Amino acid sequence: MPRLRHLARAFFVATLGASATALVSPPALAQQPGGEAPAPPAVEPPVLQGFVEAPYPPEAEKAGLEGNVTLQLDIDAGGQVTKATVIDPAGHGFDEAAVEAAKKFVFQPARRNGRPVAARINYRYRFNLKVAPAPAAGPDAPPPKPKTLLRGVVTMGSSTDALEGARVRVRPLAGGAPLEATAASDGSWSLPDLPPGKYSVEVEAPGYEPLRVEEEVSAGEATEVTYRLNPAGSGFEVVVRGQRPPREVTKRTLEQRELTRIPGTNGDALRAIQNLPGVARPPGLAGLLIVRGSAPDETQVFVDGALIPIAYHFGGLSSVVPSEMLSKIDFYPGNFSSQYGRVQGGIVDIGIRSPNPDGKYHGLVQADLIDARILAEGPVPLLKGWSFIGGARRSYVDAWLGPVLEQAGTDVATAPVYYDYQFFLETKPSATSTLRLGVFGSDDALKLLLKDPFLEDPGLGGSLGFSTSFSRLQVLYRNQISNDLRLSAELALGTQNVTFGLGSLFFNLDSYPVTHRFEVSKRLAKGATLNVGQDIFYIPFDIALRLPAPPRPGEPDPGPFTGRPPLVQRESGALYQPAAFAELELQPHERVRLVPGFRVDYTRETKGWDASPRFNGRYAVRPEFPKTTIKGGLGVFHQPPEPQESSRVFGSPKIKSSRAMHYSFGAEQEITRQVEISVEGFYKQLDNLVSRAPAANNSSFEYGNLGSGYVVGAETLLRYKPDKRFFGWLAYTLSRSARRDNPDQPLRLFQYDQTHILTALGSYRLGRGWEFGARLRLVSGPLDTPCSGGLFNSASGSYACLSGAPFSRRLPPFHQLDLRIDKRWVFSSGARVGVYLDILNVYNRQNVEAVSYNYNYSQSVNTTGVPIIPSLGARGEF
Amino acid sequence: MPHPAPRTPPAPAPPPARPRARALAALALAAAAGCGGDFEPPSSLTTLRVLAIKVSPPYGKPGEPVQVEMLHYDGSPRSRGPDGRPRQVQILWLGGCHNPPSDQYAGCFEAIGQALAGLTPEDVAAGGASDVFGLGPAWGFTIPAEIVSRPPPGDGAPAYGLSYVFYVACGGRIEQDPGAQGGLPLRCVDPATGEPLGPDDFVTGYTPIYSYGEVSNAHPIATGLRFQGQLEAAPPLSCADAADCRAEGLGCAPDGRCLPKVPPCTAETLTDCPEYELLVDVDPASAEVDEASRLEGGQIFQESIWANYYSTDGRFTRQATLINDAQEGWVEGQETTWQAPNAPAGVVRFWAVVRDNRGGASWQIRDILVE
Repeated sequence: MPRLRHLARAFFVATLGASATALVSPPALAQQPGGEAPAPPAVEPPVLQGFVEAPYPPEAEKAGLEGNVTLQLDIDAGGQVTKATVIDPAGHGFDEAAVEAAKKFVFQPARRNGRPVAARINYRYRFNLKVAPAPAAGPDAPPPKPKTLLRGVVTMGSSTDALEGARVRVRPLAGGAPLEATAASDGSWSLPDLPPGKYSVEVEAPGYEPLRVEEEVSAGEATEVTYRLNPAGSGFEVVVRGQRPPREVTKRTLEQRELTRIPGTNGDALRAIQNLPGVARPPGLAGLLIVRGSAPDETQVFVDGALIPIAYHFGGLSSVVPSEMLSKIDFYPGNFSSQYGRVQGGIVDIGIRSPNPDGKYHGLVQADLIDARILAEGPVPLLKGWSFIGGARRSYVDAWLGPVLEQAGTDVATAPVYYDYQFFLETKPSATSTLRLGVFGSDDALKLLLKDPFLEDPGLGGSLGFSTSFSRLQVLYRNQISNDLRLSAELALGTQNVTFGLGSLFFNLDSYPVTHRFEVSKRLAKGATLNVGQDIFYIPFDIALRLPAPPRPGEPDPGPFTGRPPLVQRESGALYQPAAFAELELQPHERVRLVPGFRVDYTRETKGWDASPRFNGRYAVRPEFPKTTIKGGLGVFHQPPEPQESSRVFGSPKIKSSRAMHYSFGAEQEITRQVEISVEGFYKQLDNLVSRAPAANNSSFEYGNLGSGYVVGAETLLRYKPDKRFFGWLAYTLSRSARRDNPDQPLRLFQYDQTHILTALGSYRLGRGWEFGARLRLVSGPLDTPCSGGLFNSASGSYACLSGAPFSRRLPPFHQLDLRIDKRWVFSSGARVGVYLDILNVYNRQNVEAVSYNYNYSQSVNTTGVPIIPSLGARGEF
Repeated sequence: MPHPAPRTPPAPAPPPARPRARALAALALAAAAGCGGDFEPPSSLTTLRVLAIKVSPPYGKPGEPVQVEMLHYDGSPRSRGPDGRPRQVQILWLGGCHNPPSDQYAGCFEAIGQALAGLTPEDVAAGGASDVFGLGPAWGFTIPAEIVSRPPPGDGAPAYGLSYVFYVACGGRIEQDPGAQGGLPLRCVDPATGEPLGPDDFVTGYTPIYSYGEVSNAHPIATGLRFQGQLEAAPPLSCADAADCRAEGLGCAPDGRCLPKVPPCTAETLTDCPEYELLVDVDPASAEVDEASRLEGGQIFQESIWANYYSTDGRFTRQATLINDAQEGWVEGQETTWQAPNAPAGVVRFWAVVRDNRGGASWQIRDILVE
């Protein structure tokens, strides 16, 4: 009777070891001079702690069959197997036996930056028949000599093709000289007469991922094994997921390498978002997020749940949080969860990463032509269990632009300068909880005296000052109390300042935002989780302004401001916008996921209540690889009026929130392990948009919820997920965004409408520390309001544009190629040094960004955007 | 006949280093913001141009008359007829638009069109007699007594009223054009051919006139225009020929005045041309306190005052210069520089129009010779 022997555990460790290479480079590889730069060891794969032996299928055993079953296991943050899916079946009862056994496995959960997280792994469960002992000898025969043997075959991947020449090295764990064998033409090898005990087995072959397993050899037994080596670069996949499955229809998450290697972004993570489908190209270098035809102020940016007022420094040169400090950027182009509100466009939620958990100190210094930054992390001295991560950045554009402006006759009090800072302390009060204290902020400032007034509006010349700054003190607490209960709380206190001054006009806003989020997730039953929470937004403010009434898109050019009586306001008050939300995550079937949600917002400034029901759903047409998922959603999204729109001076306190209905439907399809495609159609119905209309006495305008419009489009993303060599994607969006300012007007294209947005990018590791990337963009031209002539305004001495239909002319298409070259050196000490060259607009395309007119609007010429701009940077880290 | 005493203007200043600095600044800004057009600067008067409208008083008083006066120059290639005589420039004034919606001038077009449609030949013949219509370089009308009917635009801000005056300057004949898009329902035609004339011969414009109950404003006081640091002699030196203008740097203009004389610029590039300094003298007393800001009770600002420069030939390095800043006060370095054309141009005229940001305006004119 054959005896059974399972090598599943050994194979599990081996395959994880191979796959983890893609994510966490082992030290031996990292220390190779000129080798690939290792990724930071942020991910720890799950470790099998409780193995359950599957019964050998009687049918197979009777037939003398062996088999390998490859499973895909979903492991939750508690280490429990929540799902086992057969992705490489063996039949003959092996599959069912493997699944049943695997569901009872217990793992030490995967960890990201030390925190337990859910994970998905591939697991190969092997069924081998043990060779039956030799028949007993006759009574006169000498007792058989115990025969100890380790033998087997090496094959290519999951096939049965022999891998000739593979080298098998067996080293006793108890110590001793290693033994080696080489696979023959049929892949077989053999090591006889091994002493009983445990051995470390290393299997290597050129072009294949090395395999390391442990084997135990018993006295007098022959142990037969089959080792399958995977081709290099296609190692088994470990995908460490967020702690929760997505609640949204579309959630795009960029990985660290993607965030920092996209050409044309200077390694800036937030600028990387501008390459995703659904995101329009911002004009010039502007740091704007234009999501699915919405205005930039209809998209919000959060840092771990805390709303920040700006995402980018001056001119979009870089974002206010350095890429090196991010763990993720979640981008929701629409139909986002009920936990978010107050906008009708999209959401960007930036995650700050935890400090490196290895107990060592690490640092980074980076400098390029625009700014320099430092970052440090490690344990906090004298505070056991606490670690920190901190960074700072300052631009030095002022170092060269200031003198240039002064030479040109401009008095420079403060040349354009920005800086930002971040410091976080983190600890784990318990095995399941995380507490983080942080402070972060940003400052941009500029102050000039323009001795040459603006020719277009000379009365606005003279002193020009601008600054915007914010700071946040944040407390963040998360606790996975049990498998069924999770809570997260965030409280942020801060300051926010915006000042603008031009001659006798100014705008000063000092505010002190308090934002608070609290969410509890409770698993009610199998397949049903309830998320409830609150989202409070309270901003005391002091405002002083002296400005002309701001024109709105669609209104005629008001002409030069010179001489116009400014509106004046000095006020202290507080914006108060509390909200509550509830969301039910339902999984009535393993393939179906339904997320109904509801959110209620109150806006004290308008005394308005907004109820926003939402519903998202996903259906796995094919749950196993290659997965096919269809998805869809619909929901209501409200956005309160801007403060100036509900201001008693500038606007009308009577107006209400604008409203958008989001509809989307799409599909996701895995093509290979690395390649996936998603297609999604969307439609947004916009109502109650704020616009201006003549007041009842016809002597002035007032704000009203008179506008409406829609956005319709489709977006697709063909993505090659990052592997050891390459990442890239092809994103295309087709859309149309149209609005009207009041019901009597026809629909017109909205200012930010871009019909076609095509982005193709990729980055390839060439080896020896070199990486090369390229990005090509082809986008419809921006919209423009033509001027049909000019009227001379004698108060200013300049002309006013006789404007035609608003945004009725599209400028020529935009296309641009950007390249990026990185070179990194890795030293044996673990230090890494890199330099990069990021070249914007390689072929110096003269892309049209706007139209310039002569002084009386009788002649025009296209204004082109940025020329070729190389940016050289250097970086060192340890 | 006695010759006027010669004046000794300073020698032309050497080209300063400014062009290079400006080039650096332009390079920096171009790198940041891309490139735009390279048009004829607004200071070059090569077409029919309205340079300024002087509204007196700058802030109208309810129920009181206001005078408007146009400063214009006809630099169009068609400014002289076949006989060499300058053509007549027709000037038309249109008023009667008070407190339009949202203070927008565009809100007046409909009312202006209706007023024009109601004009009779008699009205035209009596041009200037109406509060809504006038002809010629100056005109007057009366501000409505109830003009200050707007609510105050904010905390402490004074209430105001707004009147718009529109005008056209036409190098031909003004006709009504009800089909005109986006502007006044008028056109300017060549009297000989009847063909419409374009923006080189037809200027339309508007001036806003604000009225306050308590706030007043005075025009900035421009006292002279210095060329290379020198004011024009008063009275001007007269001459019959160049020999009469004995001082170095003076030449005799065809109209018998001795004028500063500079050579044409023969340098290959404009940046190598000599630069001549121009500075409009403005009495510092012109810098009034912005009364509205005082009434608002917050920061008190001064007027912004600046000068626009124009010339019939050559190029200015600064088209406009700041004279008084609302926050910083009187500004150092108010001058501009001018570069001569590359060919003899005869008499070149300069204008410096000084404006404040509350509707005040005044100007100075100066001639030189380029020979």
